[in-house]
Amino acid sequence: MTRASTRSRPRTRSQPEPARLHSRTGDPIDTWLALLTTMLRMPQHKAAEIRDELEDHLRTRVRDQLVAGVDEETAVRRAIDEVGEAAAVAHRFRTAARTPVRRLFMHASILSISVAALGVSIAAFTSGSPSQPAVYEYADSTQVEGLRAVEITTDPNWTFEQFARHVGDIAGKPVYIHWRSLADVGIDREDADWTFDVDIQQASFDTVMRLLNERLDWDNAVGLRTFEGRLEFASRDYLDELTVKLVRYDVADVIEAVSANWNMDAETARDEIIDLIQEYVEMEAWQANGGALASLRPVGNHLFIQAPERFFPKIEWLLEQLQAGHEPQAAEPDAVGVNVKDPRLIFVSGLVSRPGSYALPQESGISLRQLLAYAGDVSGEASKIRVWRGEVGARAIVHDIDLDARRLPERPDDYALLPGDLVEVR
Amino acid sequence: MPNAPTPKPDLELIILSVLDTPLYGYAISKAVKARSDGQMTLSAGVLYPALARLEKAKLIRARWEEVNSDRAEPGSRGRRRKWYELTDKGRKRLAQRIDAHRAFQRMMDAFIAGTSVEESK
Repeated sequence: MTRASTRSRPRTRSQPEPARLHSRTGDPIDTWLALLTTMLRMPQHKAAEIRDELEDHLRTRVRDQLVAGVDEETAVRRAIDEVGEAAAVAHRFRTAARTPVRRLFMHASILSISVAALGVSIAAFTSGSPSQPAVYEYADSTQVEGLRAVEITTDPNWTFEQFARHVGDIAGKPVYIHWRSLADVGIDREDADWTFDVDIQQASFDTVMRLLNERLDWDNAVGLRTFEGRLEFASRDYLDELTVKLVRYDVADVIEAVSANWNMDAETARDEIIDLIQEYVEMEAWQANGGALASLRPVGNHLFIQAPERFFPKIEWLLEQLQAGHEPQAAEPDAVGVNVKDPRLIFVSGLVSRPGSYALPQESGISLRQLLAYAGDVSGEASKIRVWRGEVGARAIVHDIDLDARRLPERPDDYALLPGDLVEVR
Repeated sequence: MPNAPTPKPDLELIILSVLDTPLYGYAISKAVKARSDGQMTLSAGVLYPALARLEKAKLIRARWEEVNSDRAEPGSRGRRRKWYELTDKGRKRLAQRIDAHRAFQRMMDAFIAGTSVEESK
């Protein structure tokens, strides 16, 4: 039993205590500390350290007051009052543990504005095929060969070493455990009380790692890599530092794409790209956001990026998405001001004299040419006519006419429209 | 000026400054009080999480010391005390922060010097 768990039960009454000035049971300081320990919800050894430190503070503070002639009850109450509510203190400690970055909050609030704006734009970019948005697949740990499709059943009583060996057996690889870095995230080899504490049957390796990291109450505490044929378990921070590399990207095409699609000058476009990377790829890690792990410097059309290896696939994915927007797949135009639920309507939008909705004649269909006759002249600026069909918001182009090649109305072919179709002239 | 807003104290600068010699938490709070002529009290509920953050940022490092507790029972372990000291990184950061603070102060003084408002009593 560690000190922390012994002391987190201040109200035990079953054990007779030796006669003392104050019985340990009901000692307000112990009670406060027990409350704090519970509320910290941190790895045991971390919580024990915080608890011990605050106990030293409280007891020293009481002693100082006793020396000054204050009675003990008042001294204890005052010492506790000065520290404050256990819940509030625990919250501050948890915040401190989660935000190693001094100015993170400041940056987060400034940057959240640009995130919101860019988020919308990105959505517009990728909405070409509305049913299949571009999604970045997070794949970290399962990069390890031999662990991708396995099922693991865990034993909550495992030591960390037993877990690691089990994983090694499954992957058929020798295992190396970097204890020194793991101690920083609460996995202490010497702590006999440490158990795996994750109880799950036939789960993927990723799930097991996620549950372990959640239980350690640390963001991304434990990581894994293969190195020289070994599986190496270490803290995520440690692995990140080991795998930092410097990469140069030529982003001329991406800058061009972004400035064309968002109507920006090249410099603004470049800044947007940089912001986007530093927002969406491990925001806290970037020097610009107060972090230490990653840095980014633009030089002309190039970006020099120094970051842990696992950042790069995500960075490259973002760059690809931005560039893909250069030839934007068509976004479904709005059918403005019409009752989209009426099944008998056909919609016309864009460069015609009378855009809007048109009711289908009873019992008979209508062709594209007939509809355009109702909708009036197609503007000379129009270069395309498209017919969209399907559910609202998920329509697909079913007919696409390039007007530069064959001008209306000499166009020989015609196209039968269905109720709910949307004709876009652009 | 009882209601005038005072500038927010810079916790990091304060803590790093008093840690020019190794201290434990309670001693830090006393040092802060002493150096500010009793005008500044750093609540333990704020101080210790701040220390945890500085330690995590490797600006300060800690070591533990066993202390004899007045309340210790025979055979029981004594209390532990956590001492802090600046790391090299912390020393560098402190020097930077002092420079930055002085520069800021000079700038603000220059602004204030230009006002015609009387200093209130």
